Amino acid sequence: MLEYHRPASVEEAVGVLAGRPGSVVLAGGTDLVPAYRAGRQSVRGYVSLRGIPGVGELSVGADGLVIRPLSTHAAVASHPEVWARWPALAWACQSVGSVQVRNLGTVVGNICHASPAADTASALLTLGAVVEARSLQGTRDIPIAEFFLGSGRTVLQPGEMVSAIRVPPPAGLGGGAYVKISPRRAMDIAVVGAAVSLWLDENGRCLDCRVALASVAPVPLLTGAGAAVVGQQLALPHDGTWELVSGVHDIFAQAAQLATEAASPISDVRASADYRRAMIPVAVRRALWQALGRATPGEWVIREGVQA
Amino acid sequence: MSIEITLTVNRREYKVDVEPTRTLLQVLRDDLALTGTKEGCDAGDCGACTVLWDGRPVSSCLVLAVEADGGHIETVEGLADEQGLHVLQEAFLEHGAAQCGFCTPGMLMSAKALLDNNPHPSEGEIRTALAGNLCRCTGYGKIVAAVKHAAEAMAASTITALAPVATAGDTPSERVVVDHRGEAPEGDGAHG
Amino acid sequence: MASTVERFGPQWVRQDLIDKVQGKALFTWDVKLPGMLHARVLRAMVPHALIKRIDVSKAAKAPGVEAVVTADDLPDPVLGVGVLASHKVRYAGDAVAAVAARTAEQAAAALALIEVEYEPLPAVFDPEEAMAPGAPLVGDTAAAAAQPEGETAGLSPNVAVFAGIEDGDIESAFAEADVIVEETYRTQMVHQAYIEPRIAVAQWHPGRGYEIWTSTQSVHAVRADVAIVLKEPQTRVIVHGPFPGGAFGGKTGSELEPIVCLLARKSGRPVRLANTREEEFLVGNPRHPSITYIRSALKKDGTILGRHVRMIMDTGAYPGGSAIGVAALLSTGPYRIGAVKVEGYSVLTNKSSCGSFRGPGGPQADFAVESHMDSCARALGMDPVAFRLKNAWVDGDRSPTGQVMQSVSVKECLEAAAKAIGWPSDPNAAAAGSTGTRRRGVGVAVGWWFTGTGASTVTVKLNDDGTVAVQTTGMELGSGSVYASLPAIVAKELNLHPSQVVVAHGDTSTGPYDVGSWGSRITYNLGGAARAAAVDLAGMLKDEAAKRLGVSPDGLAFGDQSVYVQADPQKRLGFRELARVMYRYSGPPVGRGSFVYPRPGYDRTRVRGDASGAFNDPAYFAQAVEVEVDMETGQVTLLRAVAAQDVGRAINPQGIEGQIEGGMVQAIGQALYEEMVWQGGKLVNPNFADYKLPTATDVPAVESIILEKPSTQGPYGVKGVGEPPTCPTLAAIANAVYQATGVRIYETPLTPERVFMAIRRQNSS
Ligand SMILES: Cc1cc2nc3c(=O)[nH]c(=O)nc-3n(C[C@H](O)[C@H](O)[C@H](O)COP(=O)(O)OP(=O)(O)OC[C@H]3O[C@@H](n4cnc5c(N)ncnc54)[C@H](O)[C@@H]3O)c2cc1C
Ligand code: FES
Ligand code: FES
Repeated sequence: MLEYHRPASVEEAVGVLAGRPGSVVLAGGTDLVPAYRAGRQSVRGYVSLRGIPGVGELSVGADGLVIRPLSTHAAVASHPEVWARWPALAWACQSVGSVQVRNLGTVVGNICHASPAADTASALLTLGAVVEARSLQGTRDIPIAEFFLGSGRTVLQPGEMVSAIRVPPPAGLGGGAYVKISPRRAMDIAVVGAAVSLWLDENGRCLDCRVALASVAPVPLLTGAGAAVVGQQLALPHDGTWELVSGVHDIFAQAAQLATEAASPISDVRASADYRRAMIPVAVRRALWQALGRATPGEWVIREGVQA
Repeated sequence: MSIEITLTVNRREYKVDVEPTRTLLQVLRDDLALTGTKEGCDAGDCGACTVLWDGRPVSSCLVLAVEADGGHIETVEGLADEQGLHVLQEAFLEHGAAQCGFCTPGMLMSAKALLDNNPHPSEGEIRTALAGNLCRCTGYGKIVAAVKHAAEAMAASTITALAPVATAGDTPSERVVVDHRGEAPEGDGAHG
Repeated sequence: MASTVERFGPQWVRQDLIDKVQGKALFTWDVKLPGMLHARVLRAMVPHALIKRIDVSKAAKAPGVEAVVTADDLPDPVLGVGVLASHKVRYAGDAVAAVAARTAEQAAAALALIEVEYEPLPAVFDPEEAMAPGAPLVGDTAAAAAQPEGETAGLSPNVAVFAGIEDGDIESAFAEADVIVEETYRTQMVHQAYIEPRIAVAQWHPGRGYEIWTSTQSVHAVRADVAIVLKEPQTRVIVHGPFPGGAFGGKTGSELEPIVCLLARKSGRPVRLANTREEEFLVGNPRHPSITYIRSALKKDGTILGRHVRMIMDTGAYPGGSAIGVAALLSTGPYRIGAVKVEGYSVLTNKSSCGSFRGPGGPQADFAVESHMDSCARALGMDPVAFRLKNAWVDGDRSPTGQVMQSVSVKECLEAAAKAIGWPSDPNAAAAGSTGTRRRGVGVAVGWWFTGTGASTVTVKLNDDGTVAVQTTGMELGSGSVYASLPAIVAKELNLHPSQVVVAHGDTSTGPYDVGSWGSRITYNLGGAARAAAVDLAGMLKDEAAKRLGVSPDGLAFGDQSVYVQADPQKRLGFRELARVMYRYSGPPVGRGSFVYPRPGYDRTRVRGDASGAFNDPAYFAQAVEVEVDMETGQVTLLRAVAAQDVGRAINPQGIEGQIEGGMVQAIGQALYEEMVWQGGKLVNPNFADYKLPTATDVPAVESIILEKPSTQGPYGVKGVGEPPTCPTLAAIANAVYQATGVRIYETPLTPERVFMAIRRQNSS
């Protein structure tokens, strides 16, 4: 008989996880419930999070964003500060499933389920998020780039649960994007997803840029493609707005190329490896342009001969 | 292991004993005999089972009933009141927005959540709000028109002007920002 | 003929919708009987095998289990082919056994305890491989051993149906051609994907028989099937039809019903058997995949000298409802063609059994011929619309089978759709704003489709308060053809408001016969029966009134729920009064009507095998779309969708729009998104996550244009409406993609990947 626990605190929750091996954390249930009902998963019991006060709150402050275990995609995607400061994450959350799914599904559940297609995982990878894991032994911080081991597998140990995801504040004039390539505009899993976060100094030079991909490797993949963009002049301040400099097109193309080389897509019912490989540069380039646009708000000044 | 839970459904309180494996959908239909909420896939993919949980539309087949303990649930049966049908129901009738009617309860609940939260939705916002509700009969056109019409009717009538529910948020302002440069996203959401 | 026409009657809200918007309409999914058990079916996991042994003993003893059945419980296993497999399974999905238990979970758990020993057989999945002599035989060994003769001589007995048409001298047509265009088109397997999966509830009444509630398009078809399979007289089978939650051809016969009846009988309890969504995908009767080789002999001036079509349909594990006969007649298009040769084959393979899906054969044939028409036009340097208009039928033209066509409206529909989409004066030039990454294009396609036939009976009775009830067993699938059109027709004849006419949709024991809600036939046939019944009742009322008022019935008319003397309107008798006296003295005021349409003639010498000879009162239609193609991803976005359709007479315009919009969006689904994907005999995407129906964000609002050119035999001139909208969409979209990109896509669905790969191939060649 399936057990159901409703602890009142995270401490209590990890106590149950340790004491009842085979129990799993139940967050929004959008992955767990259908898998259980279709007989694809057997579990000993669920450890519900709904009894834990404040477990769904989002906090936004000077030291960044804290996502808690029951923070839903809808909560993240309806927070104006997230759109302003961590746009890659906001777009990723907004791209998940449907309203009904976003109202239930959580960001923490999305990364713990560890699907290579997880939309928020790639966004969090570009943002240098830190996963805070709790167990009876204490708390440890896991850089998200070290969190995923394979499809459906993470570094979480038995008895351990994620108690928060911390996203550092933007490192400059920030821009970000998540571009999801899938046949339908909603209710669809990424054939290829590309997340980009980039930060500029006030002169338009790129301080940092990260590119991560969904659905092209056994894990959500942080590529090294941002290296092609970091340190480059992407725009120039111009009377309160921005002028686009020449060469950005080539820089972005080079980053797209690097990202493609980092990927190892496979064929499945949703797409062939060949198509996926062809879509990576498209998605990355589009995400880079969108991110740059958001980092440099206002109408761009584009001189003749400069390719936008 | 069966657990007693309390659900407030359509403003009425129920106490039910449930197994933790049972979904909110099953409890509504089988235990409370509220069969207006439909089942089309039992996997979160069709939206026929959409109900509002504390004001937010959710797929009730994805929610274990025990999780909703203490929650407020609205189903299609709660839309009409002594005054008559809900404006959305009237609009669906006027526009012929239901055919077989199997998706209709879920559609109506998604539409209600949208209008509760956003009384003047654009066509794009309506379509995004209904994207989780599959309809195989209508092609959606008449449903979208009915929701638009209901929004106008509610705006025109002072009595039905509803206070937006703060919790039902799923319409970030960013979506209406059109990015004219580079290769901007088109349509709603983060689509490439 | 015009698109704004005199209204047939007032717009009002039909009865079933009032229940549906409140969640109060009864679906079979909602039926709950006291003591009801829940059943699950054990399905084969192997594509082709002999059953060596089935052992259900452990399952029978499992917790909660009340009954287990296998083919051994059938009175005759031969009659149960396709119901419960007795000695052989033909595809991964065939039912092998079923369990009824107190809960569905217990039933599912018990399935795992059933032991089945299979001896695998070689399987065949590709229809062209299956046609070849020596291919593994899908059918029953005995029946399959018979070597085909005639048209299919030399082919494998897997060829279940042949359908051929020959008109004129095809060889000389090609010999004389200026230009020959030869192409191959393919369509995929798609599912009706109604939102309510199949479900049936049955109860066994000892000594009296079976009572069934089921989600069906025809209570009488289910009764007939169940009676045959279970060897019962029809008097011992009662079938109720609650509202089906969508059907689209997928719920035309029996499927779960015989199984659930066996379980009900064995357990002595009511039993509910519902398909899971996954099972629904596996055991439905999806649309036949097709391969069409089509070539045309053309003159430079645009004359079509000849057209040769060879079409292969993959019918899956059982012959099922064949679509090839209809497709054969559709496959050359509604055009004047010098000589025609069509060879159509429906071939068994080890996959789901295909059958009727809204317009069976239509989308397949129309995709091929209407894509091909564009290719022909472009090969001749002609405008595709002008090329079609030049060759389209007009009244008096003959079909390839020699049927003389009447009330033809291809040109009118095409002109209306082309105008609405803003057909460019130079369709070979790129559309405005159509450079770079996102390219736009428009496309058109036309089609024709028959109005289904079959017997319908209706009774119309006057209640003793003066209201009127229509009694029927026609199933209301959602279009309004039963709940809106029948009251509108009866109201028209008795000069009532339709809301004064109530529909009582009955079961097989109380309702008059109707063959079923399919084939775009309800308003036409059941409508014809309703009209006849109303006229019958009108006659009775007038006779009675004439007697009582002492006048001749000829001068009487209806109005305000009464019969009055036209010359002296004060002289009148209310329906209520009439009803009262008639119930008491002269016999109940019940009108009866039936409708059976004599089939149109054709030249039998031109038809081979199962090809359709003639189409009853065809409807004509055209669709036009505007697309945007993302050249970098292959994503096709539909910007506009226009459908012009000749409905003969629009009894229920809102319902017709609903049929056009919904039908076209289903076809958009087939054109762009949906496909049942089989790998090695296994269906790999039996769910709505990977079988992608279009969502509200994926489609534009369909713009429908209703045209009226009265049919020859339908009541008030109506023509069939429901199926046509699914037919031309695939080609219209592919033609628009061609205009946008210069790339012809020969296979549906036009997924981003397929379009992208085609663009890439074109760019590199
Ligand atoms: C219709 C539908 C559409 C979907 N569309 C998308 C989509 O577009 N993109 C996408 O990425 N996903 C999609 N998903 C998948 C799913 O919604 C997401 O992965 C979601 O974010 C999961 O979150 P949850 O809270 O529902 O997780 P749950 O189902 O509750 O849990 C998921 C997994 O994470 C574990 N877990 C949860 N919380 C913790 C914790 N705090 N510590 C340790 N382990 C934990 C659980 O034990 C479980 O293994 C879709 C699902 C459905 C049903
Ligand atoms: S039944 Fe819940 S989404 Fe389909
Ligand atoms: S009305 Fe039938 S599914 Fe929407």
